[in-house]
Amino acid sequence: MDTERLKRNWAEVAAHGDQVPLFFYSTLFLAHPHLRDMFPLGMANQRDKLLAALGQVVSHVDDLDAVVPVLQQLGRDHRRFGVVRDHYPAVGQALLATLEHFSSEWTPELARDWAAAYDRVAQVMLAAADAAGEMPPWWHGTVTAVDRRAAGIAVLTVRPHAPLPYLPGQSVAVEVPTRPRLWRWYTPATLPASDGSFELHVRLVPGGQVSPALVMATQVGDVLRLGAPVGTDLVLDDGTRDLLLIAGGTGLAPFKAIMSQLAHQRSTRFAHLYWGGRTQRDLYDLAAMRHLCESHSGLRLVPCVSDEPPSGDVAGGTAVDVALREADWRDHEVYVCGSPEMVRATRDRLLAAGIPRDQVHLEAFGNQETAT
Amino acid sequence: MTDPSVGTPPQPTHRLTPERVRSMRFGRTPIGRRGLNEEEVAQFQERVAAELAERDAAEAALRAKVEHYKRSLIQWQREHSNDPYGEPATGGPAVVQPTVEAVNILSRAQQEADAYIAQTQQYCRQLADEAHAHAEQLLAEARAQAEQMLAEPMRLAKEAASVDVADLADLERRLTWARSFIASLEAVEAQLRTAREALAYEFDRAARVPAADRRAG
Repeated sequence: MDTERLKRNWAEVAAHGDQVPLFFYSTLFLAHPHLRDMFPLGMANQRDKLLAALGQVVSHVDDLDAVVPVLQQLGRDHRRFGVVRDHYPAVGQALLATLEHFSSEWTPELARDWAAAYDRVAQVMLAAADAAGEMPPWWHGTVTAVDRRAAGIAVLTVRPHAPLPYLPGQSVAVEVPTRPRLWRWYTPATLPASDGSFELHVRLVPGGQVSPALVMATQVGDVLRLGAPVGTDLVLDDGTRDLLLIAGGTGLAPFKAIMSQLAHQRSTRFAHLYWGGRTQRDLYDLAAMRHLCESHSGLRLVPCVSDEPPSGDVAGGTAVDVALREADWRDHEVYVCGSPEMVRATRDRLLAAGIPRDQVHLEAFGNQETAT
Repeated sequence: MTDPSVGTPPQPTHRLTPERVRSMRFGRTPIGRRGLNEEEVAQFQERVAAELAERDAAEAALRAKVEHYKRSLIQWQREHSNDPYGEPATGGPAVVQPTVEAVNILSRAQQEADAYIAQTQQYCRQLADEAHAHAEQLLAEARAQAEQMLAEPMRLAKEAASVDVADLADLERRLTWARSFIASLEAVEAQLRTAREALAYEFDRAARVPAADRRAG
């Protein structure tokens, strides 16, 4: 396989930008119309993702082992979209037709190399999908409670119909029946209750396609679809350092689950949670968080508001400002979750304060809605 | 869930797509510094995205023409050669491929659907932002009004504390005043709640539009 030639060819093809995935999907759907129903109505975001994924794979085509973990995750992920073994050749044909269409020089050798590379990728994805075969491709979950709180935030309680094993800090993809094929990531905010149910904290993103439906239109009894739990960034390390947790808005969710876990295990690790919002109305789960922190001596909560004067135990300033004002955290593991802007700003402040990079764990949410 | 914009710089080789133009969000200027008119920025983004899509479609149409001429040429050559049943110029497996024209028609339809969805979302976002700003303003006004209304009885109450208790009737009158003030505050609150519910209803309706379109189509 001439990998340099493949890379050169991809550079030529990719220079056509959005036209490439447009051509690919149209070819795929015309040749196999039944596949169209596996995709959402709007395809713009889907096309960008495909182009990025292809670029990532091709840039590693001479060392595909390096992208194996990514491909395995893709393979497992695609089970929830209903992708099965039979679909892979159809995609391969459409991909080759697309590459040929955008290439100035298309030779049988090039076609053979692309087919071989695609085959390798498909095998890795399929093997991972097969290995995950014992897990359902998705779960159904009934909404058993809807608690709409101030500032466009809803706390949903969801009971999966079969056990859904997740670690505190992991996320699950969620699909609402009224928005088919559109999946968004949310983090269970509690440990599973005795019936397996857990809380999801959903913030309404104005103009988003899924969160308005989740926050405003979800009713008790609605059945959601849930994907397999993923993510390791916010899963607690097994070290012994004490913890500094910094959350913005609904970025509280993973930390509520993690703190519940620490309380449940009677852990000796101390956890300080700095939870920030613009105003007190943004701190939508204060009562429950206070109650949780009273249940275990190793948990401490500092609510912070940036656009209002401090009052009572609510401190003034952004969460990271308040945390850095109060103490030196260089011997702590630090976890951050919030909007992309909040995570970026918080990370910069933490590193500037001398906290080693490998002790800072980040996860950003929010772009998934604004980006569609 | 990990956001690619955190930590990793954008790939320079990545050509701009309409979706990337539309989903670009700009940071807010620090308080006290004047920023751009968000509505104008959004309108411009939409225009750039539409022109990008237009350009993509035009290029696709040109390639379809080239493809068409190529096929015509091959056929002409075959018809005018001595061996009309010879091997076609391009080999490969006999997979039924849709024509480039068909592919382009479907692509165009998809691009239009994407643009409609993007415009609807932008409209929802604008509506929500305006409603939010309006609500904040109402709250601020109500708060200022309440403070103003409270100032007078507070001053009188302070005086009353120092004055002889004999003026019980006056105190009674102030109490009635305070009660009617609280009642008017409750009325304002009820008004705000009604407005919020109406907004929520409108919002929900707007949020349902794409699903309804899908059913209708």
